Amino acid sequence: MSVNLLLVLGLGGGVGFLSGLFGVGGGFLLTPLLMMVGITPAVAAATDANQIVAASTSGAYAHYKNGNVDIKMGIVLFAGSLAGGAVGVKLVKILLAAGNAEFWIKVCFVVFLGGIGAFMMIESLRALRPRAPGTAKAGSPKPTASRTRMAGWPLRTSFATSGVETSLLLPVLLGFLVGLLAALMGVGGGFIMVPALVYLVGMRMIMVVGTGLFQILLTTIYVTFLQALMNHNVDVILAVLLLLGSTVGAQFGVRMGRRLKGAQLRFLLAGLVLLVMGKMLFDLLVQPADLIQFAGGHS
Amino acid sequence: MRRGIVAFLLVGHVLAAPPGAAAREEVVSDTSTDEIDIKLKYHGQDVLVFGTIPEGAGIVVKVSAPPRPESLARKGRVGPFWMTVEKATVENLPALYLLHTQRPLAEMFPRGVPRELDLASMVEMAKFDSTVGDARALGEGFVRLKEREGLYVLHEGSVETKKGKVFKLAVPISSKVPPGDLLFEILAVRNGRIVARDRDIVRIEKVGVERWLTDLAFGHPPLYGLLAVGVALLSGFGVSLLFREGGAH
Repeated sequence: MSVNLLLVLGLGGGVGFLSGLFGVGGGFLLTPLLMMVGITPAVAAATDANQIVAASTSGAYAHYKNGNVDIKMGIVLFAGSLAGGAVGVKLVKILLAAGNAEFWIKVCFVVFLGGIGAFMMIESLRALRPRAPGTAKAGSPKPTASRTRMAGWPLRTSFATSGVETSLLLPVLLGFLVGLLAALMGVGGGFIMVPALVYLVGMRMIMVVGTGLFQILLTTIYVTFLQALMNHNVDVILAVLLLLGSTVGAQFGVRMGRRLKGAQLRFLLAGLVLLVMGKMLFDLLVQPADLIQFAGGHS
Repeated sequence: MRRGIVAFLLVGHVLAAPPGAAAREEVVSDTSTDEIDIKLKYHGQDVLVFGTIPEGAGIVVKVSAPPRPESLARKGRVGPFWMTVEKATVENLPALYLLHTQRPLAEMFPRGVPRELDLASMVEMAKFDSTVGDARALGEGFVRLKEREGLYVLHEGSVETKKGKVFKLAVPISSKVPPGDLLFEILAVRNGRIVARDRDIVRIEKVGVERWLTDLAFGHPPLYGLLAVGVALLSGFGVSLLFREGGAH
């Protein structure tokens, strides 16, 4: 490993900040950034997971102290994502055998991110509009049509910490979907989980961020362990450097998050999601400088 | 460094040998070190290579690291999109290929560069793990990527000589070069022909903590996994505690 120390600390700090602020892992940013500074793709992806364990510990603990982690919800989501991840890995194999899998996965992802980002952007802008002061609660958006439709689902369970009552199937399915996407795209999926918990389950934004971090913590512990076990890809030293930066960054993110309104947070996250989508679309549409590249991605 | 000095004395000794011995076409070379240690703060290292030159010959130094599988993706157009249309793993191209010469290659080999020093013919021999559509395009792309990383380099005129009898050259070894044995091949060239050669091996090895961690990662993966998770959890908690106590509000 030969990467500039300050650069790694800075990268970790920036990603940790986003993670504490939005409850996303930041893997979707860090993996490509690490590759840009010369870490091999396989090591970047695995080390990322290890680093996110630290950042999300730091962030989740800070949120837990503030009463913003719904442990029950986190564990249910995690259970779903374990199953989703297992199915996702199988699905990737099948798709790869069928050919052109990457293409369709990417297209789906762009559509998916674009949809979520645009929806969240519009909704948060509406909530931020000054002409309706006090009518909408600052913390939670109004129930969506799909949420009302899901009211009839069986196995209704109450999640006391979040103060919501919803079908147990919903978070399990949600976790499953995120796990599936994580396996397909090699990302943690926090930026899908967060809007889904807000709009579909109806949790308060700050609670979603805390719970999201907790769920990401569980997931990345699992992924780090698996990567170390099967692929020997985790670089602990690089991870330690990154996490020094990111744990500190996460603390600042959490503090910043407390100062912002839920809708403001959602607006910023929507911007970030759209940015990632734009970058992906750009990569899809613009001819690369060199048609031959080192193959990135996850084994 | 002491080894280097001893080796220099040795070179002097060879030079002082009786004319009968010197008449044989021979290159005697050595490197300033046999081993490069990868420690925590490793940013690459210069290796000095030096030796004797047969009468009237020019010197080419080739430094290479053994091939290891490296995966490539070829992007292509699918409808309006640019996607990976082919993936293949190169199996037999060196991880490192540095060519240092005393004079321009074309000048040293007016009747054509020998195959072992010619990247283009190496690329023609490239082997892939699967059957590929356009092996040449992938091979040439691989060389471009390696050149961009500074792992495939041709330095013409970088070998220094003294009175046409001894040469020396400092070869910077980048920290991107993976652990393993580096092969230094020293070729003496006269009239466009290789007349003598010598070789030296420099081993790149992880030592200390890096070594211990690598051994653990490959020897005891579950332990390593637990360690990685444990370290991350501890530092995460550590920082949050630090912040709680530091920020009294």
